Formats: sequence, structure tokens, C-alpha cells
Amino acid sequence: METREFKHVKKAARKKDGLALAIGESRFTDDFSFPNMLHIAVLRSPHAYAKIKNLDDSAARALPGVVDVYSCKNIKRIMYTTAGQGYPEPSAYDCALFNDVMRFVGDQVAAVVAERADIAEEALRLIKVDYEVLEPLLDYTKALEPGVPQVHTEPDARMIIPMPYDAKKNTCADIKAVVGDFEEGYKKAKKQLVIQTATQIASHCAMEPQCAVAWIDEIGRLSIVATSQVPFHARRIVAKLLEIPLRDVRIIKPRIGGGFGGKQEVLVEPLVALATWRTKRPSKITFTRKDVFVSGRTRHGQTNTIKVGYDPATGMIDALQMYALENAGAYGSHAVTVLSNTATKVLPMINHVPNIEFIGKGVYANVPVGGAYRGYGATQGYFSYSQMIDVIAAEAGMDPVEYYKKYAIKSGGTSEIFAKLGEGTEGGAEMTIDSCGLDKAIDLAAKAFKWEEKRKLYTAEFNKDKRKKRGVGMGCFMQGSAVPKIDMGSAYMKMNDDGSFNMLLGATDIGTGSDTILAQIAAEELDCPVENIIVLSSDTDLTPFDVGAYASSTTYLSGEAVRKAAMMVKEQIAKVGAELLGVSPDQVKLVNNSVAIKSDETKFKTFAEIGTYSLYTHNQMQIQGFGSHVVPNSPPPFCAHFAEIEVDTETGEIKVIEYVTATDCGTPINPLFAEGQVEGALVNGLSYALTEGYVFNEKGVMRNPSFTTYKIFTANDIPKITTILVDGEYEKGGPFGAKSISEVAINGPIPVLANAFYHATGKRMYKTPYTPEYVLSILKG
Amino acid sequence: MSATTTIREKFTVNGKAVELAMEPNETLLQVLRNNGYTEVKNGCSEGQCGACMVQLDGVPVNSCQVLAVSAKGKKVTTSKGVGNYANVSTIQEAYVEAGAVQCGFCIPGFVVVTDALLRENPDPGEDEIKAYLNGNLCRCTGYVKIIDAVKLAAKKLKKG
Amino acid sequence: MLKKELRWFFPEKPDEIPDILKKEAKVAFHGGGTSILRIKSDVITAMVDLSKLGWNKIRKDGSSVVIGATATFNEVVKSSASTACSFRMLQDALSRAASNSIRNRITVGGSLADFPPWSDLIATLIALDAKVTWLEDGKAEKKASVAEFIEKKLGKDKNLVREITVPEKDLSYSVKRLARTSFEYGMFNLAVSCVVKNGTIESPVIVVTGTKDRVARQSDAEAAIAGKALTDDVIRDAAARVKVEFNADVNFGAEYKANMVGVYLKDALAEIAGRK
Repeated sequence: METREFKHVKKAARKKDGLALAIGESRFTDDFSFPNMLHIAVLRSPHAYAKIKNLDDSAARALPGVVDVYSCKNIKRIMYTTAGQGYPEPSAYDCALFNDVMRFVGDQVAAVVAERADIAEEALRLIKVDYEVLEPLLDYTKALEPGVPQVHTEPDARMIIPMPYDAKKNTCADIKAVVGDFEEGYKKAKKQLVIQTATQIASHCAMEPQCAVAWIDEIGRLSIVATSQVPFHARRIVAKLLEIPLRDVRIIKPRIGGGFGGKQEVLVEPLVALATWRTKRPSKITFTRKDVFVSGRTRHGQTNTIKVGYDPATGMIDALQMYALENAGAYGSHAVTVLSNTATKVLPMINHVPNIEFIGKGVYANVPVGGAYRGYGATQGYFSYSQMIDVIAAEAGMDPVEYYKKYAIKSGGTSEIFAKLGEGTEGGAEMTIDSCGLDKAIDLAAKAFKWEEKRKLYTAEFNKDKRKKRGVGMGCFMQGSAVPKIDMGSAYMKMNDDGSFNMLLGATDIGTGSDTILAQIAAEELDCPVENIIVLSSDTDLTPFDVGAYASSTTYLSGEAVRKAAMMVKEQIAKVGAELLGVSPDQVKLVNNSVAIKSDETKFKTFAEIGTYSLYTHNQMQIQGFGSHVVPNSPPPFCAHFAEIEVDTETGEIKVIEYVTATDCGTPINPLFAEGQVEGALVNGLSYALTEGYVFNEKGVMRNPSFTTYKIFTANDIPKITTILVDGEYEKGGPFGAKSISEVAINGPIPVLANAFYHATGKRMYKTPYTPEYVLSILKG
Repeated sequence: MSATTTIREKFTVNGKAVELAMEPNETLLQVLRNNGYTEVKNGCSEGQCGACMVQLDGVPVNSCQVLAVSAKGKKVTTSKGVGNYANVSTIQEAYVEAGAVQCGFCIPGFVVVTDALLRENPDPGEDEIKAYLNGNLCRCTGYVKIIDAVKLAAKKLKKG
Repeated sequence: MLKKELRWFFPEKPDEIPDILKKEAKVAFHGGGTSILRIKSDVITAMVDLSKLGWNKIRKDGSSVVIGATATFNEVVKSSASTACSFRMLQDALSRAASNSIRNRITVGGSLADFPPWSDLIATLIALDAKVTWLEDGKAEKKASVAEFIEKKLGKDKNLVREITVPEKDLSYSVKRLARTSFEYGMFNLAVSCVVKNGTIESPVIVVTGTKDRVARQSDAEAAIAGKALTDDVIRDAAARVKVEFNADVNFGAEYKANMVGVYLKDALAEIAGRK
């Protein structure tokens, strides 16, 4: 553990684009428009499973103002995955841009390009499609049974890396990890327990719908502005899919209105790329909110079954098997890696278990497609895991707080699961935990929440005969920081006349404030004001490569690339500064926006003097630096969550009274932003636990693709929230000791509310969302 | 040759008298965005998210739920009317300071509604703030720092 | 989708309206426009905007409060026209509808004429024995109770609501709605009004809207409490006599909703009796 005095990190630096956003000056994708711009509308499948026998677009083409119609009839079939992941992607190549088979209601049948948006919409109605309607598979839990519909029958669907793929069994992800001998350990254990939980699919509900705009630039190349968390992956995928030379494709990320994983997908870019590359005119497509719900991506639903053999006297676990059955939806985007994460971000939490078996199966169904979503499989796994700990702790006569403090993974600890499973690739990354502030997190949160007092107060006696019962619950959670060994981020910096810097980053700020915190990291390395670092990010022409905003990687991975670039620049500044001061470089240091002689800091040259001198005066050069970074491990942030709820036993309503979190993210580069990440993930998690869910009719049509009926929390729904950041932890491999924080909090609400519910009522919940009707059914037994 | 349905109506937008081109069936959201007021955002077009919030004669409304023609002649205030680079609003500054701005897509709407709230009630309690803001959705912040921002703005505005 | 070729009219006097109705194939009356935008009918040829008629006033008239049809929900909620309990009941009910900003657009006349299943207005108006005045075919002035107006579906087509009259009464009330979050359609609305005299209940009115038949007056439950004191037993008995039938919706089952009416009625009566 290392504590340091920082000057620019661990400070609430002002968000660089904050005021621009508050005024409304910042442009999001839909705010871009061009003269002569075409509009694209998409015809969506009315059937959950149907072959396109014939498609007649002649009437649509004849409508004045329609420029073109694209479909499987005229667009070359190239198989790919829409998942924004590194190449080669660990997701099945199981779709074409326009398939000849529709696999969910909302699947992409055809696209119309027209002079006006309303003309494009009207033209959709004129496309005549003959479908051969097939029997759909709407219940993913049946996907492995014999005789059910096979969602993918096309011979060219495949995984492009050597991982299992069995379309005959509707299986697009098949993962097994074995440590020791589960069957033996389970049999021999003093007691056995089985817990099965099911989480629902959900929508990210980022306030900004997906959108893309494309145009041909002055020298004839294709430029795209898009709502993308992954501009570099998008560039590669667009180029490959449309057979356009990659060098002629430029993707620019503007301000993004939230992603949470929903925009880690290449859905809209290929459409505008196609239209613009062919017509040489600008084009735009905007998703409606309904499109986002139905034809965007969802969180993977999952049924998670734990079999655990343990010693009820001590609470020690001898054997644990987790079987995760994942609903991939109609296509396998992110199916393998989300499933893998259910294991790697959950099972290591209690790491003394000698016999572990993880079996994961991702299966197809004719429903909206699963994709990346904050938590990425961990959220699903913790539902059963965290309740398991609650049960075992209670049997051992331990407060769960005590249990976690005794048995949770600690600094210096490891788990074989880390090595067995990466995010779904051949290796995985062995990891020994460096920083772990979990004990501190537990203590801080328990105290702020008044855990002991409330646990003592809300007994069965207290709640007896009460209509509204109160209970408290807790849980501990971890996630990761970046994808080890696979993902790469890089940065470039140059110095200007006035001692300021332009920093060009691949890293993708989707609202997280990464532009600002990465500037803080550079500023800390150079000891200059954060305002003097001007950030430009995520333009595939101008900025160096970065995988993008996912896997909680930006601080830990891209932050180190920034620091490397800053160190290179630092060396050059020192050299020039030393030259100006007439000493050798090893006699100077960078301090307070200047270079000073170590032995006499009153002798210094400012960065402005150095900048001007280096550009104009002598030995002229551009002071510039760059760095690339790949991480060897994925150090987990750790957190402890505590919740107090009130259960109305007559209506089934659960009211969350208070929710306290404490999180160890190593050094929080910007504590205000870090808290904001926790709070946003937490409230998202509360909605996910209580009010969100897709309702389908018997034909697989989503009945509630609208905020009117798919409800998320408003400001008036949140409980009392307290957010604590653990101080003093320092992760060696992270920039100035930082780890991630952006995902982990979303793992808490589902299991913590379930644990609180048990405390209040003596009953457990196993299915989300916790609707009033479900709650009543549980209470009635 | 087909007759065009496009008409022009007078408004005062952010203090400036303008004539906006529109179709008779368009919402105020569509018309404002088509006429360059892209700070007014489209999150759902169903009156549910509040990203399109503007003030009509000082009253906060979802512009996607207003047919533009019906609002003709009125004073329209967007977030740029509450404050801009030349004249930053205390409310906008408070949102930045409190850490309430993450992706920022919902923020212009929140700024508009906060301005209306604080003119109506310069010293709102937490419950009043939460109730007044219940038509503005945010998925990034969990609302915690947004509520802080409103309180901070109220405090700063009272000081004068 | 509303037609692009929509024609707009802004009459300043009611007598301009009949002519428009005669000439136009399909007219929609535009108050706040919230129902129009929800339905987005493509057969409407003309919008008659009511904002220039001056029908947005809320004023006392003798022992009643008269609310103009184009007064918005928030204008009613914030009005100081009356401090009578009956008016406060209406303010209470409307204050929960939709969201704060949507309440700045929903008009009482529009909401009454549209009567969506989630209406926060109708149950309370019926419980208050409110009256509605409308112009038949935009011409002849008619008046009836809101209950009759709803029953006979008089809000359709060319009938134009002009004002709603709420009697100023000193009464006890409770309004409840079924929803999960703060901004959500109420999947039913329950309005209870009565007079408490010497500890016993007089003139109880219990109304549920959002049912299969849209409105369900609970006369059996009313009979259970009329002339009685609200003891636990009496309240339980009233709840047991609730007769409602719902369709299932996307978020709630029919049986659950029916059961909740009973639970909410118990809560409402307990509130009226002064207990928590």
C-alpha cells in the first residue's frame, strides 16, 4: 500500500467539456448535418423467425425522392460480428449486413436511402417481402433441448478463433473451467446447497439513441461521425464489411450521450458508410427509442445455478459448481466474453475453494440480441453467488461482514480462475491481487450505514405482524480493469509555444470524463496545470489506436499509455530546460510548470520559455512523445454495498430506503467523477432489479419498447445514497496507483436487495425484476 | 408541381425575434433542431425523457410534446438562453462544479428545468427538487450530483 | 402520423368554431396537444387551437370553482382560487399525473374528452360530483355531470368541453394510483370522497378508473361504510365488497390490479379515518 501526495490526480479537476455540455454547445452525432444529406430508414422484421423468400423493392424505388434500397438481394454477403472487440473477435461471425433469414422481431430486412426522412419511412411501406415464417425459439432455457428450432442453420456461420461453436445445438458460447474435482468435493462436503437465479434482459437506456452520419471528405475519403464506444474497431469492421480500403475510412467520435456497452457495437456505421460510399453524398441514420430497445443490444439474460458443498460450522467452501446458461439472443455478439466474465469476476471473490467447476453455455433464441452491458456477466453471476455467501455465513453463525473479512480474496491472494479464463481467449491472465481495500470498504460502509444497529433492530420480532417489513442486506463485489494481454491503448503528446500540450488519445470518452482524467494523469507526470493539456480523442485519422471504452479499461490501460507519452515528453523538456539552465539533464527536475535545478529550485525555466525556445530558437525540435500500453493483468476494484429496504407485504412493493457503497479503486484520479460512476451504476442497478424488463407477446414482439412502459428511475425515485471512496490503496500497475471503477457498482443492487429481503421476510428471491406480483408470490410461498 | 406545405411562424427564441420554417405537423423539438437549435436534444420523442425540455413563456415543457404551430408567438428559452459562453448561468456553472455533468446529453434539459424551478421557488427543499425534476431522465449520474447541483445553484443565486 | 397538410385555426370567439367544423373533414381540438401527439391520427385535416379563447381561467362562481377547459393540470395544482377541501382533492389528484413538465401541457378539458385509461382526472371529478359544460357541435351549450358525460361518451367528435365546475365542499378524501415509479401512467386510479359527521360517514363516493369498462363506481363498498364509523372491521368489509374487472397490461396482471384496489381502498379509508 502506497500513499502519495498528488498535485493533479486525486483531485476534482474541472471537467473539460462540462460547461460546453451544460450550455449545449457540444455536438452529439445527431447535431451534425450536411447540405444535400440523405436519410436512411430501416425495414424491420415483423417475424421472430422467417426466411426472406422474395423481396420486391420496385415500388419503393419508384417513390420520388428514394435514391436506393439495400437488402440481401443486392448487398454482398460477408459474415461478421457486430461486436466491437479486438481482432480476431471472440464472437461468432453469424450475421451479414442484410441477412436472408430474419431471426428476431426487429431484425434488419432492408434499408432505404432517400432525400428526406419521411420519404424514406414511407418507402419502407412499399417494399414487398414474402416471408416463409418459421417456428421461433422464444424461450432460451429450452434452446439445448432436442427438437427445438435451430436459430442458425447457415453453413457460413462460425467462430473465427478456435472456440467451440455448435449451431445445431443453438450454442454460440461454450466455456468450461475446472479446478480440482468438483464432484468429489461436493459429495464429501458436510452440507450441500443449490441456488438458481435468473436475470432478465434489459436495455442500457442511454439518453442518446444510436446515430451515424457519413460524408465524403475533400479528397474523396469516407468520414463518419458516430455514437461509438469503439471507433477503431468500427473503422476496421466497416472497411471489411463494405470492402472499402481501411485507409480511406475515418471515424470520428463526437460527444457521446452515454453508452454503458450499448454502443460497443457496430450497428449504424455500416449503413451510412454504404449509402455515402456509393452515392458520394452525406447520409444519416438515427435510431428511434423503439429501435434502441428492439434492434439495439440488450444485457444478456442468464440462468445461473450454483451447487456448493461447504462446512456449515466454519463456512468454508469445499466445492463449487456454477452453471451459467446465457441468452445470447438472435446473434452471438459478446456471448463468449460475457459468459466468461460471469466466472472470472465472481468466482475469485471467495478464493479458498479447492474444487471449482464453471460451465457456461451461450445459446441462441429468436429474441433481441445480447451485447456488452456494464457489469458484463458479473452482474448476472452475483445474483446467486452473493446470496450463497449470505446463506452460508448465516449457517456458520457469522455476520456476512465477518464472512467477507475472513474469506474474501486479499492482497497477495490469487484464484486459479484468473488463469483458466481470460475474457474468453485461449489463455487468460494469471493474477496475484496487489491492492485490495475490501476490508476498509466494508468497515467504512458498515459504519456509515449503521449496519450493526439496523441488523439488531430489524429482527423477526420487530417485523412480526407488520404489514411493512424492514430489512438490511449487504454484499461485496469485484470487477476488473481492462482486458489483459489483448487490448491496447496509446497516446501522443506535443508541446506548444506557451508550454501547453496537445494530447491526442485513442481513448474514448463517452461521458465518463476520460478526456479530463487522462489530462490529469499527464499533468501529474509533468507537474503542469491540467488546463494546459488540451485533449483531442478518438479520431481514427488523428489519434493513435485505442480499443475504446469498455472493460473498465480507460483509466488503467489508456492512463498508462498517457503516462508513457508524458514521460517521453518529460525527458525532452528536461533536456531543453537543462540546456537553457546550463546544466546537465540529470541535475534538473520538472516542478510547477517549469524545469528547475534540483539543488537550487530558484533557478528555473518555465514550460513556456522551453516551448518557445524548442520551436524557434536553437536545436529546434518538436517536443513530442508517445506511448502504447498493454496490461498483463486486470486488477479488480472492490466494493461493499449495504441496503435498507421496506417490503409492503400487501402490495408487494419494495422501497429502497437507504443504500451505502464504499469502493476501492486504488487512487481515484478524479474523486468527483469516480463517485459519479458509482452513483450512476448503482441507480441503473436499482432500476434493473426493480422495474426494468422486456415483455414479449407470444409471437416474440416486444410489447413495451418505450419509456412509457419500460420504466427507469427518475430523480424522485432514488433512495438516500451515500458514496464512499476508500482512501490509501495503490495499484502498482496502474497510473499513479489507479484501478477502474465504472462497472463494479452495478453488480450490487440485485443481490443486496435480495439479502435485505431475506432479512425482512425470511424468504429469498431468485428472479428479476422484483415486481410486486413476484414479491407477493414469494411471500405466499 | 406540388405545393409546399412549409410555413414560417414568429417566435422569440432566447431573447431574439426569429421566424422559424416548419411543417404544420411538426413538433417544436423538430422545428427547433431543424432551425439550428441543436442544444435541444431528442431522446425519445414521447415526452418521457426530458432531453428536449425548453421553456415556453418561462414554463418548462417537453418540446417533443408541443406542436410547433400551437406555440407560435411565444417566448422560447433553451439552455443557451439560460446561459452561454458570453454570459454563463450560475446554474450551468453549478452543474459543472457539482460533478453533475457526465455525458451531458440530458443536461440542457436539466438546466432549463432548474432555471424554471429556481425562479418559481428560490429555496426548494430536496423533496421539492426531486419532484420538480421528475420529468428529466438521466442514466449516467443516478441523479445524486444533479440534486447537489440544484442546491448549489440555489445557494449561489441567493447570495446574489 | 399527423398530415403535413394540416390546417390550423386559432378562433378568438366560440362562434367561429361551427363554421370550421362544417368546412373541415376531420377536426381535432387542440388544448395542450398531449393526446393528439400520442394518437398521431393521420385523418385529422384541421387543428382548432383553443388558446385564444381565454378558457384557461380558474375562478370562483358562487359556491363552485369553475375551471376553464384549457387550464393545464399544473395551473390547477398551483391555483389559489379556492381553499375548499373539494378543490384540494382535485389538486392532489392532478399533482401526481405524468411528470411536472407534462402537467404544464395537459389541459383539463382535453384530458376529460380523451379519458385515457390512466387518467388521474376522471375518478376525482366523479367523486366530487363535478359538472362539465360543453358546446355541442361547437355550438349549443350543454351541461351535465361528469359521470354522465363519461357514460354517454359525450367527449367524442365535435363536442367541445368549455369548462368544469367543481362544487366547493368541506369533505374528507383520499386519492390513490397504481404505479411503480414517480413518472408513470397510473394503471388504475381510486378516488374516495365523503363527509365525516360526528365520527360517521355520509355521502361516500368511491370511484375506480382504468377498469375494463373504464369507470367503476363502487356502490357496494359505499353502502358498507355509509352511516358507519370507520372501524377496522368496517374498512375490511368495504374492501371485500370492491367489484372491479381489469385487463392485464404490460406491467401488471388483471388479478393483481383487482386485489390492489381493495388494498388501496383500505389505505384510503384508514387515511380518512385519521390513522396511518
